[in-house]
Amino acid sequence: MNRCQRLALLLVPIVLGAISAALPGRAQTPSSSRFAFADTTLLRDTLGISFTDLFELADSLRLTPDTLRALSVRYRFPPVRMVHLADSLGIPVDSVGVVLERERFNPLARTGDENVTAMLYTTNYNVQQTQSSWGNNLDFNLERGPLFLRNLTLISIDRYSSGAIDTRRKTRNANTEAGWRLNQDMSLGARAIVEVFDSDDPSSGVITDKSNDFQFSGRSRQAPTRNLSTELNMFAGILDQTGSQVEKFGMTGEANARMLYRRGAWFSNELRGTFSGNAARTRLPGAPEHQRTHDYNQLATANLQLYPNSPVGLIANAKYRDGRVETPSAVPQDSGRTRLALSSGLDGSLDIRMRRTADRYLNLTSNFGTTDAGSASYTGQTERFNRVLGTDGRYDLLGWVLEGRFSNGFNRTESPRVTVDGGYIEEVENRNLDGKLNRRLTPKLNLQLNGGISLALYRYTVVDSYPSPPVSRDNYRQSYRVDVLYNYSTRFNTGAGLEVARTQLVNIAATSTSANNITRTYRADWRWTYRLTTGLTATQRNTLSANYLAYTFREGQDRLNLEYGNVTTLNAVLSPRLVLNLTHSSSLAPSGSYLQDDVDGEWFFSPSDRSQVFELRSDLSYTPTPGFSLTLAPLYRSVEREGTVNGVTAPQRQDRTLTVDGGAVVSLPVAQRGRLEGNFGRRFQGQRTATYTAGVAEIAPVTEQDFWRGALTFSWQL
Amino acid sequence: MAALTLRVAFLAGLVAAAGCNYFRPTEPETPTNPPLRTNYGHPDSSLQSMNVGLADKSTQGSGAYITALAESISTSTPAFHQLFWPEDVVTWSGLVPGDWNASFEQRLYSYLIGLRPLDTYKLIWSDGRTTDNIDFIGGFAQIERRYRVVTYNSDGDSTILALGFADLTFYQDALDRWVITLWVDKSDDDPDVPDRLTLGKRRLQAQSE
Repeated sequence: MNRCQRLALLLVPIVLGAISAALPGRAQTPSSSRFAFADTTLLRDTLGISFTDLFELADSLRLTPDTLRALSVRYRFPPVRMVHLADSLGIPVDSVGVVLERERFNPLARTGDENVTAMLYTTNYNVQQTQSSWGNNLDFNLERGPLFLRNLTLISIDRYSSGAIDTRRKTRNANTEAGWRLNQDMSLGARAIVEVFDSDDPSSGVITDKSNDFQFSGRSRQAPTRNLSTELNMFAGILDQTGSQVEKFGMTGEANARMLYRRGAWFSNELRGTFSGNAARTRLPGAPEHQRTHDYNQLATANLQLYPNSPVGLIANAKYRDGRVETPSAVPQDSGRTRLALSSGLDGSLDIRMRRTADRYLNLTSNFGTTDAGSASYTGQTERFNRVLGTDGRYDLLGWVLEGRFSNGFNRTESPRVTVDGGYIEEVENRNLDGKLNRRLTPKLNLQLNGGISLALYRYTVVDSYPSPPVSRDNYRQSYRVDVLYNYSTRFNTGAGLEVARTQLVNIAATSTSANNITRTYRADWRWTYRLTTGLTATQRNTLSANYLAYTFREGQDRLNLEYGNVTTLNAVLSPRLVLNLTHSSSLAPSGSYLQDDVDGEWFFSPSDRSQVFELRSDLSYTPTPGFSLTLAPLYRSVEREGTVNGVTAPQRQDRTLTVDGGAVVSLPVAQRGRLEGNFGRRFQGQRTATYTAGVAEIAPVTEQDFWRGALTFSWQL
Repeated sequence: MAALTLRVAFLAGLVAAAGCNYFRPTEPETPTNPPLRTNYGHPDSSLQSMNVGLADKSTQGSGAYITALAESISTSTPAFHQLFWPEDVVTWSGLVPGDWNASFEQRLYSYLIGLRPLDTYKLIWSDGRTTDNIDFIGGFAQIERRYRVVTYNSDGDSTILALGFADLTFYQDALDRWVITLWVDKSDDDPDVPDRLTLGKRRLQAQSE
């Protein structure tokens, strides 16, 4: 099979996806075989959150399951709830938390007229071996008729220890807003934003930065028609900044607006814009005179959705940003002058989505962007342009589920002044094609095939006389992987996989081609899980891998790295309150180069280095009462490294490490409105190292570490 | 819908047709110089590779020299930084860069090989005055080394361009290379050398050229 035929095979899912968009077909439920190989540890309940349907939801949102899980844990919402909120707010799921945080300070978001007195106080303490942090947060909300008062105060103290030196960083932020809601659609008020930062870091000296913003605020929202809603918010006031970098005093202001037009379920268009700026008298710390400076930032975004839930839909996004920062010059000969840093950017995307079911769709995607990042100095300015065209699709047919993805991306970065001598222009093109095929062969046997190919081309052009531009080169990679999973029963399942990959580094210019190389990787693994009895499950994973590194133009420099790994876990639920996990792992990794036989001239592998790692770990958890657990986790680790000197294998180094970590995990209510959550404990670690010189061991004294660690949070709600 | 399908099929056909060479890497040029023998598998090997790179006085040599320094875009190690000997800063009348990173170090290479373009170069490393602290398992090392940049003309006469001590911090990167993340430059009070310029002073000269 030649290269064209192999590539044509990978394009099959795209063509089938295109056909699926045109032919009539009946709705089908998603094929579960696609998730047979998913990481089921992501489904474990955490912080009382259930992750049912995580894979299906993540797939429909085009997110990775671990991203959706992380968002759920961060904002304490189950995935289903996150998706519901995203749908009702009309925003992407990863913006839900940001929007909810922002709306807390919007008095117009209030729906009822009842009086509100709410306060949430949170304090957390986190201690590790060389650093600790203590945070205190107060979130206060008072509403009486049309009057409202909100305050969010954050205070944190971080302490870092390095040898005999202690460094402290204190951060204090307070955001207070009070006002009067004239009616349901308009409010007037004032806000104060106070920020103070102190640091006594010896590397940067004592720093105290203060920033005070006092502003009048006006918020309004309008709904001229049933389909159209708008918002306009304005802030204006004074700015007062002092600190180690710059001192600034003057007027500041911000205006932001939003317009949303929806027409049924087939059309929505949202426009957002923000302009903020200041006119101030600015000077460097200690400078005798002030200069007049003007800074501004403006941001405009647009989102257009046409038939987003129909078989064929279109989604377009655009974002424009522009800004400037003016600072007094630090160069003595420029005294009295200011320097401008200008930056701007434009990004856009256009997606055409054709979807019949979750397993029959085709997407055509395109992105482009341009960025002009300025700098207040002679060097450092860059201009970037990028565009990506791509398509991805999925098609199920007779129990087979085919997925394909293709993309072509181009980036151009102009850095004409990396140094005063000049700079260079970088052009990078990325070409990617990959595919996946799933099939439930029998009710107990699942098969998955993965294949991919990519090429990245890096090209550089020198501007002026820049002496050392990066090397023009190509990076190539192709790989395929076969996985099978056999579910014999609910008590026993086993799976195996084989992956073959080839990567190639190609430097173009003759002066650098000596580093060109090809790496061939072969990796196989076999795993099984067996529930021996109720509450006792054994799991084992065995891996084999080999990396053959060959230099194209260097004879005698080729290398081979091998690795054999094994991890065995015994999970025992001894009682509803007592759980024990026992894990043994081992790794053996020889490596070496190739030598030429003096007699027949053949090259043979000569091991030159070998490392062995063995680890035994147990995790014991006892839960005497819900919300409180005691944990004990001893870990023993042995590392041995051998090397070959003049053809003789000799030990180089041995390490023996024992770590014992014991502590408690709490999640308890305190009185009626308080809650204590977190963990704390003590960790002990002892290590002995032996290094060998000419075969003779030099045993270093035992090193020990013994310290408290923990992270506790107490919250109290009025 | 049918028209759309045709377009998509056409696009797929285009990709397939272009696929024959679409993923084929460019044919590289044949090496003009013999490949440099570099090895970054040990901190001292990395220092010797810097010597090989300096001695080569070419783009290839510059690459060998710079490879021994941690990349600023690497996520596996901190970026390279060099700290000047305080006396060098005090006696220097020009601009002193706040952060001497790998980008600046490339200028040092070009500056050094331009000082005596006809000479042969050597960067000689020897033991420092403190005990090495090398953690092979953790991929971290702190060592002190004495350095000398020496050139030899066609008659065999030598010139010392720079000498000093360096407190060097190494990390092992994702490719198992020992790369320098921190270079603390120190002077060498060798009474036999009349003009004791450190590499730090040469760096200051390089950036003012």
